[in-house]
Amino acid sequence: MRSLELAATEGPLSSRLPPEAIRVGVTAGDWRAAVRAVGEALVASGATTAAYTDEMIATVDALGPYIVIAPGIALAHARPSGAVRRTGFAIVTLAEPVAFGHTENDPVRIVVGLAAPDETGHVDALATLADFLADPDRQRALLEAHDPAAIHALVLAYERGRDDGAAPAPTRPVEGGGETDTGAAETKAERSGGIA
Amino acid sequence: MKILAVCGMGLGSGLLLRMQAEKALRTLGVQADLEVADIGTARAAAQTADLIITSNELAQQLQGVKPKIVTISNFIDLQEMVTKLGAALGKG
Repeated sequence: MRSLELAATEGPLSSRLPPEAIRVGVTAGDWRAAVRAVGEALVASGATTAAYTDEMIATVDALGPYIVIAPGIALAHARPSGAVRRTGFAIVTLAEPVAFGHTENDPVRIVVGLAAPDETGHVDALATLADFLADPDRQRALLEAHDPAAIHALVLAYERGRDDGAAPAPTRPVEGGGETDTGAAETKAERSGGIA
Repeated sequence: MKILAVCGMGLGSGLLLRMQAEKALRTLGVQADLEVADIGTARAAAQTADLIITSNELAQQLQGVKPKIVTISNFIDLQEMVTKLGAALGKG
């Protein structure tokens, strides 16, 4: 089980998204307030300093609302900078939907915050989060959660279910043998590919 | 075949596009190299790419580049990626 220990030290999504980084039913008057809320959650979890929040807002000012990556979901982030203390994710669910100015995916109900100190450390956790959010039932459960602990539990349950599901897979020669982080991701990728 | 995923900074939505495109290419049975570029370097990177995938918003900033541009609305919907990539690659 060394590989599992190694994966744990590299940080699954659940360890990068502690309850302190989750805010439920936030009231935000506009997209700036929504991004600010997710920035504050990143600060609260120790992933960033307050300057990162301003950098995320400046990103949208400069590049537009492309951060609304799916209907109802924004992925706020900025570049790796001195304001990032470690890889971290945050989730804010909004009490009322907020327009970000995106032509197809407005309005936003879920704001994800991402802080990355480099270009690679967050890749596996981001993949997990994308797969977690891709399922409408899980999205609904996230929106209906009443407190941060409930959302954290949803993410943990998803990770465990996925890892359990990956365990019987090594009868096939999946890259990495299905035990490492990468192997589990590969198996999961094939599974979701099969469903879609 | 080289496919370029373009996003604002190359580490958020662009990574998602690359991940989804990897899965979609497996589904479609197509071999291709996938790279990620931020919008600032995308024009230069596009010169050696055969296809670009990006959002509608960023596609407007890439007008005039040589490769065909596939625009994706939902970055976590694998079916959209499979359908649009498939059509662009003649596998639809």
